[in-house]
Amino acid sequence: MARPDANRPAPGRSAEWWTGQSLRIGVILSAVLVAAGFLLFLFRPAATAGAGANVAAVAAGVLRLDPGAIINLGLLVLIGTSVFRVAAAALAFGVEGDYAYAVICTLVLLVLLVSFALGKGE
Amino acid sequence: MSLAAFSATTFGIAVFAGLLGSLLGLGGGIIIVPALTLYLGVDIRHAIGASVISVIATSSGAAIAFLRDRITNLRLGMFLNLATTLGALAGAFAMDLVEPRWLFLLFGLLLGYSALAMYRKRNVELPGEVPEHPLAARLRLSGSYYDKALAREVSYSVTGVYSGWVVMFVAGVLSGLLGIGSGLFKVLGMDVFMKLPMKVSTATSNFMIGVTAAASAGVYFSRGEIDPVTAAPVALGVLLGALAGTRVMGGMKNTTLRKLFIPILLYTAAQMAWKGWNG
Repeated sequence: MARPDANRPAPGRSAEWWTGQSLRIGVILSAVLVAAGFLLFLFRPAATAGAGANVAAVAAGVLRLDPGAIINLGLLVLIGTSVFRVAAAALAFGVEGDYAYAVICTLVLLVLLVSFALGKGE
Repeated sequence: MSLAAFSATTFGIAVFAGLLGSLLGLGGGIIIVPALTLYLGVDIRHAIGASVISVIATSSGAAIAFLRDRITNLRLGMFLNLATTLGALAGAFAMDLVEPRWLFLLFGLLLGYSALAMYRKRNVELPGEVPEHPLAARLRLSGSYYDKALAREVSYSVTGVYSGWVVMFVAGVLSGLLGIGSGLFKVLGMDVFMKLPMKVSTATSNFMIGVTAAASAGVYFSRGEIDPVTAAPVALGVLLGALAGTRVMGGMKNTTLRKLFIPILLYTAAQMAWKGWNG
């Protein structure tokens, strides 16, 4: 069905498009990692020692091909898509010349980063 | 239960949660947590950790298609996300100041009342002529999308900008304090106060819940409460369900979505009131 897009900016250039693309890449990467780690786990459940609760521990586990750590890396990428989409939107709005929204997105990003920083201190 | 059976069951539950969550703008925690704890005997902390992953997976999985089809209002989502993230931050600080019991009671009643408000307009497909709020005009919050079910372009105006922002702030406080119902409140805020078409409300809520959940996901992750063996089938299943949801949602009527939403609203209202009543 033809879509009446005549009075809109071309989808290829919109902030929506850029944000969607950044999500697509993150989601595919995350799904591949989680699926690979989980398949590995199903074949040798004993291989997962400590999956790691921080980036350094996860990285070390991934180098050992620890199934749990590979899953965790995929989950970190998935969590990352949530933060990254805000950054992508901020950038895309800025490129579009929509500075009010570039500022709004940057503020959201800042609040998120403050929450991350405070969460670690617990 | 064998590992394969546990994984397959968790995956199946997650597909359903992702499907429902992507249609209704919710994170699926309402399904994941009770199914994992009551039916599969998963530790409550791991179940909550998996439900945070489910929120993000629903949000990211569904947003790809909803952004492409322009059902998600990205400007509105970001404008309101400022309120929810600030609210979540405030909620984390308020943790020691308020008794969750009274909040559960209060919001249980509020949700029950909202269910009534939604029931009254159960047969209203589109909001019709809505006076555009001056701030909505300045921030270009109003928009349009192509409605497959109606086979035409639907333009909508945004009203109630201030009240909507306050509701989103409260939704953020709630997700920081109680960890549930934030998707519900976002959809309610946009549907009841800002008078958006139901599809735009659920798709925009979908986009927003992932951003709000990201902050708490980091905390759960560093506490080791996200168990990879439980979270993996949840993430994969929810992603699949959310993708399926985005395929069918475009062709569904706004009234159908609302009729699916009301029972979940009532269920959550009852659950919250029950928790509050019993302390």
